[in-house]
Amino acid sequence: MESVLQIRQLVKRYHGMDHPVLQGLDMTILPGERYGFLGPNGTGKTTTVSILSGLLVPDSGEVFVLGNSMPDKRKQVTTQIGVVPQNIALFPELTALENLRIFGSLYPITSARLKQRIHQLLELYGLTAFARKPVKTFSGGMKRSLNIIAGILHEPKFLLLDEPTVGIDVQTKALILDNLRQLNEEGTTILYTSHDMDEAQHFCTRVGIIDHGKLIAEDTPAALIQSCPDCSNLESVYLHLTGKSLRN
Amino acid sequence: MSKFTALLYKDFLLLLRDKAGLLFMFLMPMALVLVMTGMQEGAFSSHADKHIALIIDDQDKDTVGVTITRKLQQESLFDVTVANDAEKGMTEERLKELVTQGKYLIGIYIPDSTTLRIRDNAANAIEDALPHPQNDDSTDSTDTVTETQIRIYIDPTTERSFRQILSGHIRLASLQVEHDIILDEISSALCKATRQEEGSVDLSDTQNIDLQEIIAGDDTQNSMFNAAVHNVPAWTLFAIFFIVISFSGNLIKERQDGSFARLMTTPCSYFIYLTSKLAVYLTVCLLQFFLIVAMGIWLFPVVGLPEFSMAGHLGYCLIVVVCAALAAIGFGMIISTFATTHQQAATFGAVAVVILSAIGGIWVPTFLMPKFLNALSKVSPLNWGIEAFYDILLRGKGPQAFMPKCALLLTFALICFTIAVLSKKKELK
Repeated sequence: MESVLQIRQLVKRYHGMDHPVLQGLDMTILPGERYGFLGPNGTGKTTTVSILSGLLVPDSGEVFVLGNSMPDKRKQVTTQIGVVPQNIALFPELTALENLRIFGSLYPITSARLKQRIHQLLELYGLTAFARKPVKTFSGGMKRSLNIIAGILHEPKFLLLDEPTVGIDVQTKALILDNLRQLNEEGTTILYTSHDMDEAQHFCTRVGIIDHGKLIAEDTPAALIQSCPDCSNLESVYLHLTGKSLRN
Repeated sequence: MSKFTALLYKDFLLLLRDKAGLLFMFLMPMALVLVMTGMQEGAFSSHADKHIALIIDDQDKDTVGVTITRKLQQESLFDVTVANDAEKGMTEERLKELVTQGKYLIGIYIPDSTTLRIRDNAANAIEDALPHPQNDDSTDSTDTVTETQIRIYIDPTTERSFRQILSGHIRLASLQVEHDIILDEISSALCKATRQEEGSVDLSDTQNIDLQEIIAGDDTQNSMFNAAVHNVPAWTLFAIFFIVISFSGNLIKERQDGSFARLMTTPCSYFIYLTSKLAVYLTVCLLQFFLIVAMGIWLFPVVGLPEFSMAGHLGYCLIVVVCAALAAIGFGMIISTFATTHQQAATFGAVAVVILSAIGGIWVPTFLMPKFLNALSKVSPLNWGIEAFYDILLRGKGPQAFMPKCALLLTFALICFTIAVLSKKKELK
């Protein structure tokens, strides 16, 4: 089975930093997976997502997204992937509908299909009544939902989610995760970063734990829990592997 | 919608929703052009329209006094009041007091026997100069030149250059009178010396030097410097460059809220992203130009300001506007590259544009500036713009004259774009 994502010996160093943030990362994601990419702050999760989405150029290593080398085949990759950034990357002065029309129009999707998708997704996330309201008037949960919708309008084959549920209430989180699960069942492979271990344990089919720029563990949540003595959940496995010292 | 259309739609919507930004970009320059033109109209307008209050006390009551009074009365520059008509028993002290009180801007005091003294001086000088064969001793004339002084009192609040203009007018009138008297005396002396009948020699109708004022330029039909012809293009350029605040703020905001990064994760390229912004802000600049020009053409005459005329050179003016707009957009990009917050960009952008406009000759024309500022103005892109407009509107020149200034603006834009794009590439790495 051809992998959706293949990363080999990925290295990335930021200017002025002593150590590379990514120090030879290897990672593979297969089609249909909901891959949880977990790790303490500053270990390279967002850097990896930025490289995969074409925002950053790696120093060395190989990255293949849907069979296309990055950043060389950036255009082919960006048409097929969806990116949901950590922050609410929308235009607050514009309405939900205007935001979605703009982001959707940047992908190879017909106007009719885009219109249909906007209607369908606003309905799914309970935002139809707010479609013509400026995003700046939305609650945190509504903004998060819209942030996700803007990333999946074009039915991407591979979706990169960088902490998509941070700072929202339980109900909205449940709605978002249910919809993402449904999207995954419809064929979209998901790479998901989070600090919520409970959420990752229940949502992801496989997780990879990154520390000091390298993958230190990778398996299904159940297998990881089983492999760790005295560990009852993913959070205890995570703490066992990465330690309790503060990271920043 | 294509990618470009989508981004264009986004940028136009964002601009339309930014009410404060729109006020800054449109209302502020429109208000400035009106206020500044009104303020500068006094300084730039012909002095002939001014009607300056002048009082003249003619104690001479002879040729000099009468002629100077008549000549000044004929000049529309002055509103002449004859002292005795204003107050009986006027003295020089009282005249001075009236000027000091600000009732008159100028007071002229012509002393008693001024004409007589000029005549005597001239006659003595001629007599000394002519040969006297019968009496060789006559060359040792003991006649002395009597000083004749016309005193001009000027309101102390009068600006120096304006004072010089006023003094010049009065000096010219008195010199003409003196010149006529001297010629009259020479004519009379020549008649005597040649034993001709009095009046047979008349030098007063000799041809004077005629000064002809010709405005240098290829098409000078409409090229008269006034407040409108300076302020309309000047404030258009200021408005164009003031978009750097909105433009750089917009770029920084999109960078900070992550929407720029998100756009860059889509199939949209950085080139398309910039092109749509460029198109939107170029449209803004053209709108600013048309609005300010429309004010100059239709509103200025209504409020008593000189009407602005493009002298049929709209096409040339548009070339300058587009070049200036590109330079301004490039400058905005540079600011957004190095500023980290919207506040930084707004503060730096506003201060930079005000300084560049001040030294560039937007607030006051460069010819009124001190030498070092005049030299410094050459580095301001706003100066290149205003000089290009002067070439078109005042000097009546064609593309060969204004295109080098446009080339400077385009080079400036290109340098800014290059730095910004290279900096973006560096950031990507």
